[in-house]
Amino acid sequence: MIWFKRMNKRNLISTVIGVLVLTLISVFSTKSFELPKILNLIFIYSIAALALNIVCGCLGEFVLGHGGFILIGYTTAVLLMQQLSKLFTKSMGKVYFKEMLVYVVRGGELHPMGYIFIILTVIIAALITAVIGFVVGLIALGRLKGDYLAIVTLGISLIFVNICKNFDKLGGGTGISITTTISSTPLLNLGFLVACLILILTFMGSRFGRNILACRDDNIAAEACGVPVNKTKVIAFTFSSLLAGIGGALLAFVQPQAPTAFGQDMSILFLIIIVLGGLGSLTGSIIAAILIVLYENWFCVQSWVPDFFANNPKIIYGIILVLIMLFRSSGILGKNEFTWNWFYKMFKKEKKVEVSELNESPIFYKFAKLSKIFGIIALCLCYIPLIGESLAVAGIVFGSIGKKSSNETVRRVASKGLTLSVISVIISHLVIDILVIILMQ
Amino acid sequence: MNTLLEGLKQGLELGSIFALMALGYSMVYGIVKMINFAHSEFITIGGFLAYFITESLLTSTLGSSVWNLLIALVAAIIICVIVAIITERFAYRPLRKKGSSRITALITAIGVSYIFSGIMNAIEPEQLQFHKFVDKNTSFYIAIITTAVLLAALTFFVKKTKIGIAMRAVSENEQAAKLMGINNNFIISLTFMIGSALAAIGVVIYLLDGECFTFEIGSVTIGLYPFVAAVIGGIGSLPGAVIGGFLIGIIRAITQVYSNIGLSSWVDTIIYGIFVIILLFKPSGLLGKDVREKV
Repeated sequence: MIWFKRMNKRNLISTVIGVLVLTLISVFSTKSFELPKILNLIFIYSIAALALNIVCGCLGEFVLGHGGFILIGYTTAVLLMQQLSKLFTKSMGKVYFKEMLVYVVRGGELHPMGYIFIILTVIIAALITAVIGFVVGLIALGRLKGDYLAIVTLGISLIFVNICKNFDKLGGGTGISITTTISSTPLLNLGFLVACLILILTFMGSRFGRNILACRDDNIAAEACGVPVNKTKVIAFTFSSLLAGIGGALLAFVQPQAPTAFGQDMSILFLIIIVLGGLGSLTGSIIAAILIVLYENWFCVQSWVPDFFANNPKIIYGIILVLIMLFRSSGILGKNEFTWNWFYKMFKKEKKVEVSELNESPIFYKFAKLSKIFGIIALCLCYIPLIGESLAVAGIVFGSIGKKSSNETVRRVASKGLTLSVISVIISHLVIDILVIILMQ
Repeated sequence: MNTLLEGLKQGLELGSIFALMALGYSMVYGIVKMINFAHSEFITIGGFLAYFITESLLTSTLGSSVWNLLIALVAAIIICVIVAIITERFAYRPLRKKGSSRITALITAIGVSYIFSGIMNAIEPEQLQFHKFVDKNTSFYIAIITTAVLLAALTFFVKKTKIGIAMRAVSENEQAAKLMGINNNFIISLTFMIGSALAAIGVVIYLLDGECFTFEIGSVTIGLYPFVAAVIGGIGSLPGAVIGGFLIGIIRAITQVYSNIGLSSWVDTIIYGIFVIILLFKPSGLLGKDVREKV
């Protein structure tokens, strides 16, 4: 738990507050119709993207068959739930279990005990996926690398899809789902996301995690230093498929899908997410997952958005991918992480700049300072519609003017103001939307 | 026995089409070390263009004569080549200049393929049927002969001509080739052009006997099979691509012929299973060169 020890009090409190806010949003979101689905998908996509990022970003091996492992998690979860409900309805005559099952199977308000069923199912499904991932990793990772590994994993995932498609019990052409009415709550998925994050941070901070990073940076040098390269790769791959299994199992409770949906396109979707967020950046993956889910489920269904965006997601994704690769090949965050230290640095005062020292008109410095002030105020007022937004837009405009300055300190101030303003624009839009949705009910 | 023979015949036809497409994949991979995912969209573009041109020419004086087909074929090849040049120029070359990693190149290729696929989808989401120019028998001979001739020509081109030698030099070592006075960018563009031309020829032969197709012909119907064929044969090896193409084509046709025992729904499992097994035992393909990792 090295990440835990490294946290100081301020960061710990911020994290706890952040999780609490998310919990509150998750709890209250159930009052609305669309929000739970979006939140569920955000949390699940984040888990699956993190899983892929461990292999692609942290280990540096390229895997194109992520969808196959998500499919295994999905299918095992569905089969387990079916067996469980059969088992209990047959043998357990007790009223309590029956009652519980009614909650689990029929949906509606989830009985607290119902959570245990779901959690157990997800864990077992994840373990089964991990076993299959271990076998695949053992076979493929030792012998192949680079593009060949990518193509072989794609082939293996397509085999999984093909098998599931051919057996009606495993999905068939239309897919299997748990029941039509049961749905897990965002709170549960949030819990799994937090648990997965803790697991990943612990894992990456341990010896295995350091081995994985060493293998990414230089295979041969790592081997020379005594890192068991093949073993490390297999461990990372198994861990990744474990997380993919969790993602897939959770997906089974949220969105029924046919096996063919887990083929090439889903694998590539998660690739897009991690590349957009930055390979090797965990928080980047989460941010990108949020963006992609919001694009598909929120942006595309808005009335003012032309149909083109909803009908042709492939063109948009393709353009995004190519542009990112050409102009910022490291993604949104690169290899950096979003940290509280970085966040709080935004508010810190920069060294004062003497106006006489500047080789340019002081207007840039003034704009930069204004941008930062506007950004901070906007962040504080972002829950008020229009005011927070307009302040943030002003902050963005001033910030981009300030960034033209030739003085480095001034530019730094301006970029801080810019970042704060952008964050507050995003938050204010989200907050307004959530408020509207909740108030409309 | 008859069904097996029928399957073999169809397999040879399908195999030679796959071989043509695999040659494109293989040459491009050999020279820029990048899986050109957009290749499957070149296939789609070629098919679409050939379809639209033949349809518009059918009402003219040419009717359904051979000239109609030839014009469509040439036009499809030219447009495919232009698309390939544009793709290479604006998507791949900037990456090469920056010296980006291979994963970057591969993701760009996926992006390009998505863009083309999306555009095709927006243009014509319905199923189309190509005009039936020849019957199945003739198309079989056309496929076999075209593949044989093109393979021979390509082998001659790569082994004997100056540009072909330059091509091999670039694929061996880009920097050294540059120092020897080879225009790398031109050679790479040329490889893309040849690959996309082969894709266009392949898809036109595939559609020749009145095949139905959709905008997913490149990415789903034919899909990754040519690429799998190229990898099985050994990337960068021309005869390897053809052998792989025939292997995949025959497997696919035979599973289709025996659809009464449910074999056809297992085609993916069989092909990718064989593919994975071959790669596990020969990681660089059947005819590929083994490259040892050096410090």
